[in-house]
Amino acid sequence: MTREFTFGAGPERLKRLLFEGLEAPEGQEDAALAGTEDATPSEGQRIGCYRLLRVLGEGGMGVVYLAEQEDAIRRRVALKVIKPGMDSKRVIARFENERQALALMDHPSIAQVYDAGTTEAGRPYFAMEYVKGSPITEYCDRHKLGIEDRLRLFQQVCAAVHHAHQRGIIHRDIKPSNILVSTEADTATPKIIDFGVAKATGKSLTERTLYTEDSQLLGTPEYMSPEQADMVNEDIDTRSDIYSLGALLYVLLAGILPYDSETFRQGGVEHVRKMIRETDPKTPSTRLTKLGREASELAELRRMEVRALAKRLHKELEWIPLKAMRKDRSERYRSAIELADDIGNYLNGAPLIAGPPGTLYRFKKFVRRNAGLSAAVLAVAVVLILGLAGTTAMYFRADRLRVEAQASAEREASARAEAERALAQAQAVSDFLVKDILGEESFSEAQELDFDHVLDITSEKLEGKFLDQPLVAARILHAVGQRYYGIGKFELARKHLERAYQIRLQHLGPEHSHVIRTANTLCFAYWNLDRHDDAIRIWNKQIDILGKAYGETYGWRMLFMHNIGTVYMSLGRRAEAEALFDEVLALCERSSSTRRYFVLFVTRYHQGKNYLAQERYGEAEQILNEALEARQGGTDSRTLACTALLARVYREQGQYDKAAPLLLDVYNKREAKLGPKHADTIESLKQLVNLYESWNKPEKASEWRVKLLGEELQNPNE
Amino acid sequence: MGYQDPTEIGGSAQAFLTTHWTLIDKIQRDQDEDRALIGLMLERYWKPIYCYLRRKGYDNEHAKDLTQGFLHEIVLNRRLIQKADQSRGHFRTLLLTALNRYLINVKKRETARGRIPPEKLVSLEVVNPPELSGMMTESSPDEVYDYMWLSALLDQVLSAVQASCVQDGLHIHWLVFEERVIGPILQDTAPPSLTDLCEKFSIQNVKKVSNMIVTVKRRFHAALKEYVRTTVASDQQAQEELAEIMHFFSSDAQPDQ
Repeated sequence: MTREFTFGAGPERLKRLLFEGLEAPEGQEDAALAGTEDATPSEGQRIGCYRLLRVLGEGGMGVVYLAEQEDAIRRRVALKVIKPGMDSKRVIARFENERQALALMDHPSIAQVYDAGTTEAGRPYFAMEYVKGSPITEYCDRHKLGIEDRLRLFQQVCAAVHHAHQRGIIHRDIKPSNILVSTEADTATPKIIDFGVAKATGKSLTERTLYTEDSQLLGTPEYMSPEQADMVNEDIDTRSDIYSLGALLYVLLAGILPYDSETFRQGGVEHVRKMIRETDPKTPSTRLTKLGREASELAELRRMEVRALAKRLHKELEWIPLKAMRKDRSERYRSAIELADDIGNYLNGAPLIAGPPGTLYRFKKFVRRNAGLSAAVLAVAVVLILGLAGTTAMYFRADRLRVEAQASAEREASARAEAERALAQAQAVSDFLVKDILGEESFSEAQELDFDHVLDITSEKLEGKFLDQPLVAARILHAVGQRYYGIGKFELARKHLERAYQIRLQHLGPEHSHVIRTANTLCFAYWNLDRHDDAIRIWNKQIDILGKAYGETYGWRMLFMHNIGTVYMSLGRRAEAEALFDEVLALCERSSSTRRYFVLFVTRYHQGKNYLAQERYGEAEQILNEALEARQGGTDSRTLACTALLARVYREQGQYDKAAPLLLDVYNKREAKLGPKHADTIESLKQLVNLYESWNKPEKASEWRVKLLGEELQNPNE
Repeated sequence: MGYQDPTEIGGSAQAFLTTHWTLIDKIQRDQDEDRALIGLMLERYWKPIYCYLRRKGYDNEHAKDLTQGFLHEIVLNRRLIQKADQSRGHFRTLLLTALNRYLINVKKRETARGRIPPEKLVSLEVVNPPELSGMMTESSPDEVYDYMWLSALLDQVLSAVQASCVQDGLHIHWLVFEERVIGPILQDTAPPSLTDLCEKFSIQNVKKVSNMIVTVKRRFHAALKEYVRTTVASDQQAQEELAEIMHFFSSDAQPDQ
C-alpha cells in the first residue's frame, strides 16, 4: 500500500527530496541538514602528528589551520580538515589513488600535499605545504599589477598546471583562492594548492553548491566547466582545468567574473547549471564599458584608464580567455602550455592561436612585428604576403635586393648611416602599411584580402605621403605599378611606374638597378598601351646609359635591345627587328653576364618567330632548335612556347610527322602543369586540331576536336 | 513467457514490460499474470496518468475510466506501446506518447467496462482523488504529468523503504529518518537536532542516531535507483532518466502550496 508522503508538496520540495535520495549516502550525515553537533577542532588541539596553531581560513569544503608537524620532521604545514558529510574512508581511498602521482609532482608553483588521514571524529584531513601569500587576484590588485605583469604571473600558473596534467593529475577546482602568490625572495611566485583534494572529496555540482534551507547557493561555480556542471557527465579531463584557467584569466584581466554574479546565483542550482552549459560569457571589453564607476576602479587597479583598458582587451587579448572557456572542450586550448604560449604570442606581437583564420590578421601581425627589417626585405615581404605570385622578375629582384642589403651592411664608412636610413625607411613603409593601408576601414571586417581593392587603396593613400622620403614612395609606387601591370591594368600601371621612374632617376641615377627595373616595366606598360614610341625611347635611353656605364654586353642592356626588337616585330618592322636580334645574339656570344643565357633564349625565340612570319622556315627551324638545345626537358612556359613554335614551323613545311610529337608533348606538359582548362592548354588543343586537319587525318582531328569542344563547353569564356 | 508472440516486433517496449515482470514475482501471484501486471502498472502509474487526464479536462469518472482502459490496453494488447516505441525516450515519455495515441483512438462513449472482458478487468480504486490545486491548474498537462510522476515515484519508493525497514526490525530507524529528513523537507520546517532525537527515541548517543539515519538513507538511495532502473532499458538510461527528472520544473517553478 503506497503512502502518500508527498501529498501537498510543491515541485521544489519534491526535487529536494529527490536530491536527498540521490546523494551518496555513506558516511556521516549531510552537512546541509546537520546541526552543529560535530565539534570543529580548535587551536592547540592535536590531529595526528600535527598540532593546530591557528585558523588560516574557512572554505566551502572545510577549515584550514596552520599546524606544526611534530614527528621526525618538524615543519609548519597547512592542515585542511574537511567538514562533515563525507565518507572519510572513501575520501582517503581516493586520495591514496592519487598519492603516488602527486608525489611525482615537483614544481615550484605547486604546493605539495604531504599527507592525509582522519581525525578522531572521523573527518578527513590533508597536510599540505604551507604557503604564505594571498589569492592571485587579491595580490594583483593590491600591487596594482599592469596587464603584462598579470599575464606573466598567469603563465607561471599555466606551466604548473601543465606539469600536473603531464603526470595525470587534474586539479578540478582551479580558482583564485587556490592560487596563492607568495613573495619570498622578492619575486612573486604563484603556488597552486589543493591538488588532489578536489578529486578525493569528489565534489559534484550539488555538493559544491549546497542547498540550504532558504535556497542560498554556496560554493563558487563561476570557475566550473560545463562538463563539471553536468551531473550526468562523469568524464572530466584536463580541459576542464583549462576552462577554469580561462575564467581566472578573464578575472585577472578585467576584474569581473565571466558571468554576472547576480544573475548567476539568483536562479538556484538548475539555473546555474543551465547558464554554465549554455550561455557564452560576454567579452570583458564590452562589459567594462557598461559598468560605469566600478570600471574606473578596476582599471585603476591595472594602472590604466577605462578606455585604455577596454581598448587593450578588445580583440586579441580577450580572445585568449574566451577560447579557453569554450563550451565545446574540443575548441579550447589543447593544453595549459598552449594557453601559456598564446599569452607569449600576445606579448611578442605574434599572431594568436586564438586569432581568427585568414590572411589579413596574420599579415597585420607580421608587419607590426617586423618594423625593424630593412625596407627592401619588408617590401618583398609585403608583396609575398599579399599572396602575389612571383614572376621571374620578382624573384630576381628579391635576390638582388638581398644582395644589396648585405653589401650595404658590409660597407665600412657609411655602414651605420646606411643602416639607420634603411631602418627609417622600413619604419616609414611599415607605418604606412599599418596605419594607412591596414587601418583602412573596408579591410577591418574582411578575413581575406581582395587584392584589387588593396591595390587601389594603397594607390589612393599614397597621395601626398612620403614627400620627405621620396625613395620610400618610389618603392611603393613601383610595387603597386608592377602589380597593376600584372593584373592587366596598364594605364594605372603606367601612372605609378612613371612617377616611380622619375623619382628613382632623380635620386639614384640612371644606372641604378632600381631605375632599370622600373624603366623596364614602364616600357612594357607603354607598349601595352600602344605607346610604342615612348617605350622605345626609354629603352634606347637606358641602352645608351648602360652601355656607357657597364659596357655593351651588360645583361640588361642586351635585354632592352631585344625588347625593342619585339616591339618592331609587333609593328611589322621585321627587318629592323632582325638586325637588332642579330646584334644581340652577337653580343651574347661575347658576354659574361649571367643574364646572357636568358637573353640568348628569348632572342632566338623571337628571331625564330620573325623568320617564320617571313616564311624562312629553314632558318627558323635552325634557330629554334638552337634555342631549345639548352632547355631540354624544360616545362616552363617559354620552353613550351618555343617548342610549339618549332612545331608550327614543321607544320608549315608539311612535316607533320615532326610537328605532331612536339605538339603532343607541349599539350601533355601544359595539361599536367596548368590543368586542362588553362588558356595555354586550350591553345595546344587547337593547334593539335589544326595539325591533324592539315595532315588530312580527320579521325584524329575529330578526336582532338571533341576534346577541345569538351573543354570549351565547360569554359565558355575561351 | 506465453505472452511473447514471436511475430511481434518487441524492442525496448518489450524490455520495459519485461523488466516490470521481474516485479511481479514480488507481488502476490495471481492466476492470471496479465492481471498482476496490470495491477502493478495501475499502482505505479495511475496518478500521473489520471492527473494528466484531469488537467486535460476530463472529469473524475471519465479520467478514471480512461486510466484503467489505457493501462489494460498497454498490457493486453501492447500495440500502443509498440507504436510509441518509435520515439526515443524512456518509459515515462513512452507512456505519455502511448496515452495520447490511445486518446485519439478511443471512442467517446466507450467505457472500460464495455471494452474489456470482465474477467480481465482490474479495478482502479482512486482513494482521495488528488485535488487539482491552484498549482496544477496553472501548469500545462505535460507539467502536471511530470510532477505527478515524480510525486508517485517518491511515494512509492519511500513506501517501499518504510516497508523494508519494518520488515527488518528497523522501525525506529525509519521513524528517526522520517522525522529528521523527510518531514522537514516536505513540510519546510527546521529539522530536530540529533540530541532531541536521542531523547525522543531513547537512543544512546548522537553518533548512533547519525548512523541510523545513514542506514535508512542507503536504502532510500538503493530503492530510488532500482525503481528508476525498472522503467528504462539500461543503466546508462537510468542515469539519464534521473538527470531528466531533476530538470523538471524550471527554477522559477510555482511557489509551494
